[in-house]
Amino acid sequence: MRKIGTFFYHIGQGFIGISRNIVMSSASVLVLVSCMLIVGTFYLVIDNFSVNLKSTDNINMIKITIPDELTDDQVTRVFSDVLELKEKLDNVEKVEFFTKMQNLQIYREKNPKLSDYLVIFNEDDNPLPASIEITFTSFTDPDFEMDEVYQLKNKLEEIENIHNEDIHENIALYDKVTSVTDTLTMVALYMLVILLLVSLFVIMNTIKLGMHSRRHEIMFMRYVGATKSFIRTPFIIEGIIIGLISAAVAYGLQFYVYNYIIADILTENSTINSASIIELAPFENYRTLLIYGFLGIGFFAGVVSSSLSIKKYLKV
Amino acid sequence: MIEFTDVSMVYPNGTVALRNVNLRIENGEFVFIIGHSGAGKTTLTKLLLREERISSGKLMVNGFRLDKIRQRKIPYLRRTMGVVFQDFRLFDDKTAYENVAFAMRVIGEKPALIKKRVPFFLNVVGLGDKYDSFPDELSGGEQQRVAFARALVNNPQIIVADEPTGNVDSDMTNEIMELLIKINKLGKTVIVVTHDREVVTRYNKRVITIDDGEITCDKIGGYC
Repeated sequence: MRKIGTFFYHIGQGFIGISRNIVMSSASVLVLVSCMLIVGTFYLVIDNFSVNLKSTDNINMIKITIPDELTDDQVTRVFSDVLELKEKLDNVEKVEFFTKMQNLQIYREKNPKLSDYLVIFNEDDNPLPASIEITFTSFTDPDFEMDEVYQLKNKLEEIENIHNEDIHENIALYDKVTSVTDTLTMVALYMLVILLLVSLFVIMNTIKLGMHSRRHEIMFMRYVGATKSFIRTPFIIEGIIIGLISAAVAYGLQFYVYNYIIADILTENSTINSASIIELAPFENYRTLLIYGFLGIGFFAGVVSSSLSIKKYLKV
Repeated sequence: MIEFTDVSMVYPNGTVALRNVNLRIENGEFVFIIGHSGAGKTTLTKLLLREERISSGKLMVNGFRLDKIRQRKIPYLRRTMGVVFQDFRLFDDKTAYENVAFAMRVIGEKPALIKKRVPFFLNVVGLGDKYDSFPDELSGGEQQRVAFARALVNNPQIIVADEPTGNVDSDMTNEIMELLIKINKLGKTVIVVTHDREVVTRYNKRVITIDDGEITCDKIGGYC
């Protein structure tokens, strides 16, 4: 009972500390919110790009279109050459052959809105070529050897009757976008570290000012026999409250930024950009991660900065 | 009980504050500690509160051996003592009641006990009708009484008063001294650090004189 009372007393003192030093406390919240918001926004944009990229059709394959002029024997030869290459590679999941009609059928299924127009095509005047599709395994794994894809592509070009323009792949695109998102991730991480350090510094100074304004209380508490932890705890609580308030504010702002600003820039509903860049995942998908992430950052910053401030400035 | 055995205290800058002090103060005694500025009075009270550590010798206070006490035990030593400062050190933003209650609150006492003890001790010091007054609404003497109530409320064995009559007129001095004698009669050890000759002479109590870090006189009644 006594401990519960003391716990609530400390929480009360934490809020009192913040209210006594409202300007610096607000500055601390502002810096920490900026840190969370920038990191959160980077994460959401990067993740949306990655998700969209991974769900892009044919991203994990090389497609060889078979020129119409090839005879059945020549096509069979090409297919067996590809199968032979497959045996030498670890990361190829399957190799499939699609006839001209199969490709037409697939195209019809993927484009139901065009079915009225596509109905006019039949076996004789089918404009789509036959194809061979080489699908890779573990394509999105960090360990996946991208070089193997390029080597395979080079070897495919050496197959008789297959030309450079017959080989199609989005892997280079994936590679480029992944490298951009990797760079953005690094930038986000650096910004997280820098902003977190700035936040720690500002919160440390806020707590230091709180200690200064309560120095008479602290001295009296020492004389009366308050324990070290009793004197220190309100300042730790103050730091945690600043961190948690920052997390709540950052979450609210992140919701707004995601649904109204990022969505406005990147999606087909954009009012400032007529081209649809990506399909944005609903904010709900990130809710749990953002809540725990922001609370974690806020709690960490609050505890660490107040502990450092106590260690450096509070002599009890 | 307080016992200094060959206690010396040298500050890091080399200043010798106390030299081979031997002193014993029994429970329930009333003691004046006198001496001019820089004689070592403040150091002596700091040692009692374990604000400073002795350089050599042995110091026992209320069963705690201060030359060997662990850091985490110091708060519990301090709970056996109540300190009244010359400048009162009341909190201006707290009422008389809150000032006294704060001393209990910070050692984790239950609210129910605080509600019971604070009014009792405010009545003991004669401020039963001033619970809700802030320090700036109280006279100097009344503020001093709040400080005494605050020192008493945790039921310490020793009350240390640092120049308690330094800032008040002669009428208030008498009131404060009567209050200290009343506290002493409650069974508390009272240590008054002062250089008010008139007060020391008027009350027939034990007087310990410190000069240049040494106890030069220890007798009952008046100056040496």
